[in-house]
Amino acid sequence: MTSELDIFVGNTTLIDEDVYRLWLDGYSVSDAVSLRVRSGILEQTGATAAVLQSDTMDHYRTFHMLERLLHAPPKLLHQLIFQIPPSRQALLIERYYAFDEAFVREVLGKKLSKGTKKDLDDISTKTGITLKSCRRQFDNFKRVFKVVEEMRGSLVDNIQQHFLLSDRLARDYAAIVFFANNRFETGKKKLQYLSFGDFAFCAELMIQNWTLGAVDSQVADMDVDLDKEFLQDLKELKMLVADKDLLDLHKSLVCTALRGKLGVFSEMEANFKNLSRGLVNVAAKLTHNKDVRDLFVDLVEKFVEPCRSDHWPLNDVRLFLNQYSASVHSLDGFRHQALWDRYMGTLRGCLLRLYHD
Amino acid sequence: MPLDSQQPNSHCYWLTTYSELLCVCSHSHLYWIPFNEDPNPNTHSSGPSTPLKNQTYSFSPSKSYSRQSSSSDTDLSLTPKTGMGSGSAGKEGGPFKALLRQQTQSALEQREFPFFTLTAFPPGFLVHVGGVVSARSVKLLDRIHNPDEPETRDAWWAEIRQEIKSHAKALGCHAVVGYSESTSICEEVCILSASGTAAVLNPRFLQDGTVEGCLEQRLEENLPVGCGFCHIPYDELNMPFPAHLTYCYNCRKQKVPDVLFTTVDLPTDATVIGKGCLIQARLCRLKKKAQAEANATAISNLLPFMEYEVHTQLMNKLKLKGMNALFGLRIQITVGENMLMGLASATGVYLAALPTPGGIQIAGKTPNDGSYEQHISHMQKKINDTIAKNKELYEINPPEISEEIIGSPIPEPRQRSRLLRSQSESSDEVTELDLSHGKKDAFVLEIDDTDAMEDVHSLLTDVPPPSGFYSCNTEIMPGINNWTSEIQMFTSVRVIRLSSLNLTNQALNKNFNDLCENLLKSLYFKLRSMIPCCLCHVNFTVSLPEDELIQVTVTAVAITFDKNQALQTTKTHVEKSLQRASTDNEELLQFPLELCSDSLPSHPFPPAKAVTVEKASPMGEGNFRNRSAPPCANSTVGVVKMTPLSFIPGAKITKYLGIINMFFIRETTSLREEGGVSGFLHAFIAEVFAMVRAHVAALGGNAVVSYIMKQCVFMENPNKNQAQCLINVSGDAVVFVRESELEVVSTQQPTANCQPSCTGGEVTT
Repeated sequence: MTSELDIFVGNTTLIDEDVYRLWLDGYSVSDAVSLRVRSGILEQTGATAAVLQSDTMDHYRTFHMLERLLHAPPKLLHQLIFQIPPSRQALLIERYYAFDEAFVREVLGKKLSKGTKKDLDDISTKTGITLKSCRRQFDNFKRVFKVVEEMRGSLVDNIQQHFLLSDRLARDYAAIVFFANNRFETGKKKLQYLSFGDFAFCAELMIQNWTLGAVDSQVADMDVDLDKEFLQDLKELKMLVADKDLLDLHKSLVCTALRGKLGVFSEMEANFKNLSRGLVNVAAKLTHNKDVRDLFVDLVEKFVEPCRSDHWPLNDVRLFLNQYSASVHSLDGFRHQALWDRYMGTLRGCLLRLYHD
Repeated sequence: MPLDSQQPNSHCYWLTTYSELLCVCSHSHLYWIPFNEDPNPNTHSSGPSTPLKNQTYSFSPSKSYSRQSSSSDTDLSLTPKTGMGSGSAGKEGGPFKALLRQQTQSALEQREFPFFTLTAFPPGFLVHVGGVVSARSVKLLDRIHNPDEPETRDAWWAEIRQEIKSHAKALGCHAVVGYSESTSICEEVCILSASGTAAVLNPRFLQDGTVEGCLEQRLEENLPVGCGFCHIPYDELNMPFPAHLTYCYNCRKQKVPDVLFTTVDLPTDATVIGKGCLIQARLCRLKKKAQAEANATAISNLLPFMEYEVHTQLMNKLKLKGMNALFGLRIQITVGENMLMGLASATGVYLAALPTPGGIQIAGKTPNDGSYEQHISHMQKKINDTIAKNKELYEINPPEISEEIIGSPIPEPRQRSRLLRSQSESSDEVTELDLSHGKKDAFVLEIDDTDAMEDVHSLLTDVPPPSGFYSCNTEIMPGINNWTSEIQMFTSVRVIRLSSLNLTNQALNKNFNDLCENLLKSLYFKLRSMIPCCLCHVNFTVSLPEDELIQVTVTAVAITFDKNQALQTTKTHVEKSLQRASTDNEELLQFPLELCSDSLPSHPFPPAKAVTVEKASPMGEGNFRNRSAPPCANSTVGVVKMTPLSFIPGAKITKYLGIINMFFIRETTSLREEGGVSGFLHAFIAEVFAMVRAHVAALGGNAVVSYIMKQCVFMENPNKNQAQCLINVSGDAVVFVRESELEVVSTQQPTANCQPSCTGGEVTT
């Protein structure tokens, strides 16, 4: 006796969250069945393995049919084939677009192209995430990227509107799109300690302050591309380190203000010129695409690592960065206050987030 | 009478005997009438002297009646006959004249076929229920001269209906309710089947009086409530078959049988103890491949034994559940190239009016063997345990009644009725059965061969549903009345391929049994999130698309109920259903267009409507308001509920929009690419649901009730990467309003000018 055909169709489409998760994780039906057996579901419900097999097959078939709708979530809301309560629809979409931290760290900042897709095998081996799941996540990134890439308006809003994601997930996707577009390097060894959350945080600050959208909310690509003019202007900041008098004045202002407040004052005093040179040089280099990509590498190399090697506590870093950016306002010979604020305001936030073990 | 004299060229295998058998089957004793006996026992003259027998009462052809003929599967081939519903009326110049004329006759008696396909009736409508009557006939389709003309088929059905009618008469009944007809076709052989429940109906309902009037009268008469329909309609001294009668356990005045089988739903006023459950009998019989007449003969020879086996299984399973009545019985016999399948589904309940069923005793035929004895006693213990467990599971705790009060011999708990299982090959069947003719009272299962052993095993392998789950094939589950609005209608299809080598009847039975059991288990598992819940209207359909393929299609609805309010009194439930019967149905159901027409002020049968409208009970006014209320209440745009039941729990149907009857055919030439047969059919059925929903939504409705999948014919050719499927579904498109919203709506609209005569006119087909 072999089962030729075995289906179950409900007027309201049944969605089993556990099976959906297994499907999203890329398990085959037989793997999913054995995982479900291990979860103890047979004992709880008194079902047999055959029942479980049939149930899993049914759900997999349903998910397979739903998948093409999930590629364009508004379609899922407007289709008539599957009657699914709104809360379940939201769950389906949210879970489908959810991604693994380990996976996103591997592809963050990489070009979402066929070339990268070929590397998914390696990523799968490295992260232990099934290739199927890697493909889904990669395709999600790419799909979102393609849709919102050239769009006007806020990146997060666009993603939310076209993919019906929750605010949080939409923000994450905005970061992924932003990183992919600017191709920030995130894979270097010295950046491995950083989480996706760290990068997403920086991306959000950069989108808010450094993109075209920060000055004009009506241009295409406004949240995706950095403001080229702003990057050009950043060269002007170079005088802060090139002009020796200005540098000395800046240092003395900072040291005066922080004396007695920092645990690592002497280290700071000794390193001030190096740190300042590092931060300003990063700004000055951003005219070149290559250097934009290395932004995070540079920040970690030029600032995070020196501070960390001197064991600066986070609070000292915060005090230093606050004072460091504020003191520039007292430099009479420096005219680019607004530019400095736009640059340093974002950078300060990013550095504080990046400064951890 | 194997040959139909009127159809000399068509060889008709006319099996009167086993249909006779089934009419007897509604009682625990089987009685075998020899093949050549007159199929119509002369009950007419010597028959039961039921009080209604000679009464002349008029029968206005109710809607139910005309509905019956229109819902019959074979209606298309039916030429209008006098007295056959609306067909005759149309010919004789206006329905009302004809109705008027008919009303003055003792219509029901005069009717050619006083059959009702309805399965639910207003309280008091069923006076007595005799039992299940059924008839089958094997025909050869290639012997029809003009296949396009319906004459031959009409004649076939006429024979069967005549047969049913005579069975009903034999049981002292003048009508058949819960009547249905079906066919199973394989190549040129066709089995025509009809079954129903013989019943005595309340003549007052058939007169021009209103339902309310009837109810009042009924109350005045002080008829016993909740047991009347169980009382035997036939004369105790001239019983058409041997039955074990006792005084009714409820009223203690009249006689009742010890077991009752019916094809109708449980009457709303019936007193039931505990809850009910789905009971199925499953059976396969191998048959040699043959052509034409030889094939038809082979089938004809197998059928009586199958009916008998199915009945035995039902009896055993019923006893195992500790119950004493079956409702909604539907026996389906499917013919294939090399086998016959029988599947009977029914809902078992414990009727308070009927005696407590005895247990089941196993007897071995070789009592000398010690280990065998041990085995037997072990099995006996298992059976007794199962009965005890089931009684607990289904909350069957009948009150103890001492014999003196009853004043008649009642079976003691240990007492058993006798039934010998049939061995399909045994030739001394008839004599064996005759043994049960007397007053033997032990229900004995003899296990003298492996075949029988299997049967006993299979009795015990039927796994009860997991806790929190109930199932029935009737509209609602007796004993549960606090439904929530959470419903889930579903269709499940399974096809298994039998390994063709060395198939035995036993292996076949086991495969089929496993198929059905696994299917049920799957349903319980899938719907576990709805617990506590009940699968209602579970409808199994078996087909044999190819030699080694068995297809089972199930459609049912799962309804969650509120466990906390489980102690709601049944009285309110009955009252509710009374209201439903009197107001809802009368005013909202069906066809007010014709019935409320004022052009015929004297027309005979709308008084029911007219009176209700004039009286305008508060309930009725409420309805009118709702009708005039725009469907703005359906804020949940797009959601269309579907259910095989006639109602939606927690909601009120405010408008009927007409019948949905849709045929779909789907073919694929890229089967593999679509996920194989499962993927293909899954997508197709999902789309069928979607199209039905869209159709209903387009009509302005938000639900389909009485939904049924009439056909699901699936064929595949994997080698060619092809598959085809035909599906026919139907149902009633309706607008419903949640009862909670209803109150809000009716308070918002204190005055509403509504004209009942102009609502509900749009009947779409």
